[in-house]
Amino acid sequence: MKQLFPKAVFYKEWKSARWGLALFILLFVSKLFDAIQRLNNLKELAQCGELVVANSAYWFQQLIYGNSIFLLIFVLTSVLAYLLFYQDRQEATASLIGSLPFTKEQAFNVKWITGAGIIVMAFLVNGLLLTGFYFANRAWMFSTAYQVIPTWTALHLVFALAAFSFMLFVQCAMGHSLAAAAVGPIAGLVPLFFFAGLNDIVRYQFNLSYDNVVSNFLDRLTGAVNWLDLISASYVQNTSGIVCPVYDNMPVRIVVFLAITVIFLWLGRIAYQQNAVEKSGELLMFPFLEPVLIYGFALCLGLLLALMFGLGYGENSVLVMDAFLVGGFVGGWFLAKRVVAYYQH
Amino acid sequence: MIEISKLHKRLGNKDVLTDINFTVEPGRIFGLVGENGAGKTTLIKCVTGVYRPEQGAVLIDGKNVYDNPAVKERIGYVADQNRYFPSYRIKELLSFYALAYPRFSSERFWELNKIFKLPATARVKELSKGMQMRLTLMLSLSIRPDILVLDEPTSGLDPLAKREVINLLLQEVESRDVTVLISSHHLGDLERICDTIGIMSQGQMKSIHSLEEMKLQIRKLQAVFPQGTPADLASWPEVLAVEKMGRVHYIITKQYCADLLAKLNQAQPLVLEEVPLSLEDMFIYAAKEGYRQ
Repeated sequence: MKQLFPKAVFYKEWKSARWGLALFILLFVSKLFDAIQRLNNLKELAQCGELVVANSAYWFQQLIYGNSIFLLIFVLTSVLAYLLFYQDRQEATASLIGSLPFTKEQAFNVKWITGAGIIVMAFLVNGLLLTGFYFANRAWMFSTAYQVIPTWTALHLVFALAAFSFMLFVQCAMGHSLAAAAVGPIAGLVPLFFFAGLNDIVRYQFNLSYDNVVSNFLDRLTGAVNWLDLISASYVQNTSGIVCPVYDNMPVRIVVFLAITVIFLWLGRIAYQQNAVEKSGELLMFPFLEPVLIYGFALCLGLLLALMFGLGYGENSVLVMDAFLVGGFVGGWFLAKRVVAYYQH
Repeated sequence: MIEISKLHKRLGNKDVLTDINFTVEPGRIFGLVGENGAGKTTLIKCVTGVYRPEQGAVLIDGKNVYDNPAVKERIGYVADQNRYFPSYRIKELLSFYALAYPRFSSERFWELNKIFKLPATARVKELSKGMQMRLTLMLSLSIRPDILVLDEPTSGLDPLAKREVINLLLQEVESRDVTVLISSHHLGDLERICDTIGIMSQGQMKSIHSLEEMKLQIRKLQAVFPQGTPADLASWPEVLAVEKMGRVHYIITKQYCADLLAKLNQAQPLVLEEVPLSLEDMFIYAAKEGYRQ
């Protein structure tokens, strides 16, 4: 264990990332505050004699399952990865870290364990607070089973671990921690945006119907890369006609998130072992990623402009859409090239 | 022992180090000199395992340094700029070092602090450049290193502190047989402590000489030749450089020997005498003329 996770590295990473834990707990507690507020409303309604229990039978379940916090988790895990990396990416401190008696493998292991530990602690605290709230107000929970809390916690915990592993991988691939913190959450959503946007563009460009083979294929592709869908609840109507959010296929969801965690953990570890101290502060750690970033950014900017101004404001004119697509691509290409060159040592 | 063989390092598109070869024996002090951009800091970063060499090997007692904690925990590294975590207090840095280096001694640190007098509760970012350099030195000496690598250790220090640092280094070498690799622009300091000097220029090790040998070989002679300067004096194999001020010729030798004196005496000089030459002068001439061993 000492070989895999040296204490000194833990000391350093914990000191860097401990504010991430405070941030996580503070933001998750907002769910508890929402619950307290809703409960107070219910109590007021009951006092006035206006409470219809059947309509509010699943209020707690709706509150817990209903508000998706995937964007919040994306941003928080990116902040956490940034906290774990910002010292490594400052040239002078990077030299100190490079001279310390630890292997890169040990350093990466500790970064992940520290981050994952913080996430687990945050969910644990949040789960305990919600549990306390649930049992303290058991009479007001009506039809909501306690199972809702561990289910939500387990699903969001594995999602947060997957997102964190992805953000850590982005940090390992980039030499500038702040840029990586901005790119991480965006990169996580790029495949979804890209295929959804491409679907619209192709459909308008070639005047295709929604059930066309190409459009269907792109639709399926969009669905396949929409990993955020995995933490959304589906809504079912019970026998009393009340709509209630539920998580179906829980084992599949959890396995998918664990698989994503393992894949990005593995990729991140390989990338970190290849990190060169002299590249600290540059935008990218690996030259072969330059075309990926430059063309990826150019394509996405072209798509974004075409979707926003081509389809939205151009009264669906193919010519306007194409002009924005090409203009955005060329502009994005130049911009990304300049940014990469600016950060090169 | 530090062994460097066929070391190449590229930074970006530039070859910063080319074919570096040298050895530092245990208990010896090796001084690195060279103009800015010569590659000294890059070489030091390769020796401390910060940079991975593209080619060649950097070995400490026969073992590779890069990504090797067992070797790195025996190296004390004093860099030319503040490298510590700015928000850490000195006490926290001590805890960190105690966890990182098995041989770290807090007693040694506080002993050294009697000389350097740093406030234990201060944060690194609150310390001046000179104080940060003292802190780095104290921490590096407190890990009880077998190898000490110092990059401009006296920069930012006042003359008194500088003297203390030099004395401490000498004590470490004397008492614990520490091997030292030091780079400095303060050639007077190197002259006092080094056994061997390596002169670097444009990423290459131009010369390696023991200081004693260097002082024997590189000398400055002043001569007046009433019958004219000997032909091709500057291109003689024993001569590094020739300067003329009025009637006086200053001859910098690279192989001072009796043969050279005999050749010069054949020109019947009016005056032929040796004048003092500091390491700084030696370095300047060597760098200018591309002096090679």
